[in-house]
Amino acid sequence: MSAVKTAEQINQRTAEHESDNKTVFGFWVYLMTDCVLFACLFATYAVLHTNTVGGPDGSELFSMPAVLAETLILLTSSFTCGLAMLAAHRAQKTQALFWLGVTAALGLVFLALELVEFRHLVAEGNSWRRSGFLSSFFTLVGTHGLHITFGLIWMFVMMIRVVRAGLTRSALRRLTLLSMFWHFLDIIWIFIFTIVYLMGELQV
Amino acid sequence: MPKNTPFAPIIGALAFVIGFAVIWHIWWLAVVGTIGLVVAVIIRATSDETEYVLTAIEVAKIESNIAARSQLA
Repeated sequence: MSAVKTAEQINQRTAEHESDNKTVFGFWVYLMTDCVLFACLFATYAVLHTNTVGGPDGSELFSMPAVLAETLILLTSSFTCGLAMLAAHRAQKTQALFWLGVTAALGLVFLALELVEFRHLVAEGNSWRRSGFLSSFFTLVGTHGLHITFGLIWMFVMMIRVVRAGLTRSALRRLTLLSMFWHFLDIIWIFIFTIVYLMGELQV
Repeated sequence: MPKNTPFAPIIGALAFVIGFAVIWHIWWLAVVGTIGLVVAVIIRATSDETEYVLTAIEVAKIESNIAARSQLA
């Protein structure tokens, strides 16, 4: 009887391990579909960014110090997200929560800066209705901002769960997925920074 | 094995409500739908017992039952 039980336990543990691997693989597939979404938006922007119909172009609109600040904040949040994951894998709950909190705070600051930039643009009459360039700009950067928003909601939900239930097996798995998502958004932002802001400033 | 869940049709229905509300500019309904959708996804994503294990022993038992029955028939 005891032999049967052990066999069942081993069976269950292997099944759990395999299903975790499948979850991570499934999330990679999701990230790649998201990558396709952003590729479409980048392509749209590449086609439309010269269509200003007499309105302002990127070099007249973008404030580079603010964008550089956003970039550094997002890169730092990716780093603190990595620190949170390291602490979580060492089962250091308080440290993991602290670094997750720092990551979420940096994400909030990034989002706030982006919304201030959007509000500024709209207030000066340069909303998405102005030109093809601005339509594609708001769609691309706004979609990234929306992803950050959902990442932040996810992060707060995970923090509440870790406080309540601790670093359980499922919490660790979800934190792994969350960190993949966060690093992915960071990479997308690097492309936005380069293609939209830097190349817009240089007018290439 | 994944357990049965009511969340798939619930999330689908809420997504439909949001789409309908946005197309016809019913903003209060879009807001309600979005909040409902986010809450539904959070409830589903934070529940742990979404799977059950079907062991090889149980499968063997079920299979041998079927085999026994087909022999009787």
